[in-house]
Amino acid sequence: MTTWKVASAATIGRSHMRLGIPCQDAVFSIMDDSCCVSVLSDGAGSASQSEAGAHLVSERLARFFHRSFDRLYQLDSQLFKQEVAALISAWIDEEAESLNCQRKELAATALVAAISNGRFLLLHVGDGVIGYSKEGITQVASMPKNGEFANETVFVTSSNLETHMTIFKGTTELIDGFILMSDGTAESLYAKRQKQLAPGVSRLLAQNVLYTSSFMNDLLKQNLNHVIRQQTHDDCSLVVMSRPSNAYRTYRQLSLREKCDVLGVSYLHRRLTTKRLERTSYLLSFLDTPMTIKQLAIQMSTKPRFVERQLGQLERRGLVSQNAGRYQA
Amino acid sequence: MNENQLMILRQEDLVNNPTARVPVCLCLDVSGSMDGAPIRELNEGIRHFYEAIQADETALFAAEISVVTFGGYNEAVCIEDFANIDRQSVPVVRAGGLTPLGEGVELALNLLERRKQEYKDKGVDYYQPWLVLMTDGAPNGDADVLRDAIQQTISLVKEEKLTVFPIGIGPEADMSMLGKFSPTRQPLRLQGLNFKEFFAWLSSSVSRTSMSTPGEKVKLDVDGMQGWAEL
Repeated sequence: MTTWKVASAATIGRSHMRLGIPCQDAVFSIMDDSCCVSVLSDGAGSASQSEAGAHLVSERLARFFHRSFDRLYQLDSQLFKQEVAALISAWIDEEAESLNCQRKELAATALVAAISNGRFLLLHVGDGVIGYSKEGITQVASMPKNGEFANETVFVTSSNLETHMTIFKGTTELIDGFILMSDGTAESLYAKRQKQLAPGVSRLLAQNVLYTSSFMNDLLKQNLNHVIRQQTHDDCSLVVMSRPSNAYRTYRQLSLREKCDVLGVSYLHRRLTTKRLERTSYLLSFLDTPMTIKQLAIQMSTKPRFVERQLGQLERRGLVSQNAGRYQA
Repeated sequence: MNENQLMILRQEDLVNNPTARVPVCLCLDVSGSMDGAPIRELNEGIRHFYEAIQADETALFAAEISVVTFGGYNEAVCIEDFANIDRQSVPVVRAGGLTPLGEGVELALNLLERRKQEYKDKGVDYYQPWLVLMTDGAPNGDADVLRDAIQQTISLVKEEKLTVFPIGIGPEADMSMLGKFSPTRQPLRLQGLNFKEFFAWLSSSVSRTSMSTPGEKVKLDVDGMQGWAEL
């Protein structure tokens, strides 16, 4: 079972809000027990159907990498690029025909991170940044592919697409995080001159391990809207993938004080606090698999009303999520 | 979102990348024929340009202006070198002498090239540079310099490394000569002395460019030209 967690968000930029144009960034993730894949795509500002292009690229590429990970991982890099370029080209042709537009109107970038059974694959076309974390130290894997001028880059619709692709593969033994960002987000999280990631990237990877995916998705959206978007006119999108490690700890691995911070309880009344934290840890210990309130109450030999209240508090803190009446940590 | 409204990112967690720059060189004819009302209106227009850029929060950090004048005895002078507009004072130009157009363009292109290199050295992103060329007559400087300046400009425009705005002032402006500098865009003649309207249009165009994103080709505001150009 994969220990990787994934969260993502995309938000419309200030310039597009003012002009009444939709968000042209798209993110798409697929995850199961053995493989997780995330794709981020940024539609070109001047292309009339770039929103459709970005959605097409993100969804189709994610499904393709998820379906074909093992085979792609074995491929020689040149064959890998040729196969992916040919596929993208066919998707673009098909979509252009159905939308009755030219291929270039679907122009978009592509950033892919795929992880399966201790291995990873990365693919990058165009601007934006792919970063990774090795034992908690964040580094840039793939830099933006800009032209001489600030509004120039390559897209999946560019000719000789395979020559514009950057790919990486390797094992995740020491790697505990990946981050994909569009150029709008990179304005805040990537220092162009130093070619380094911002300190905030480590915080994002750490919080992603701590919180549930749905909570983290909301959190990313809020941070894009209120922090990242203020530094750019462009649409902003972000994918965060991380797993528990020495650098990125789960709730159970936190110190007493850190647990208090996460739960928003006072650290001063030590005896009361310790009791409360013990209750919380006890409840969370049952939630590795989804359970109903009734099942939990039976397991904990307590009243459903008490379990419900406690679950509500943990859900609001992002430590538990609920799906169709079943709760999971 | 939950009641805690958690913010993961604080200002100190982010990087502060410099704003991508739009370098604009105004290459202006200050020959004797510009004396009187034209030079007064030109100065008023330049002042208006600076004020409009300063009033626009986007253009203010993106636009970088340099001003080259050509006149005197075959003189091309940089009276304002590239810098953020906040650190510049509004230049005032004076008329007198000949029309060494080639010398003016040669200096302007050198300044733009040097500035691009400075951006590259400092890791600052930049947009395609703009050359605004304004004259009210026909060139009478060194013919070889003029020919080289035309060739150099044409090759930069064709390689999409430079945007040129050739503007004729008054009925005596040599529009065919201006056209030689611009293989892709027709030169335009200013309506009367509508410098102020032209510079208002120019500042809003700089602002639009500075907001453009990768893959976006900035379309010029053609409707806005009606306020200053004889179309």
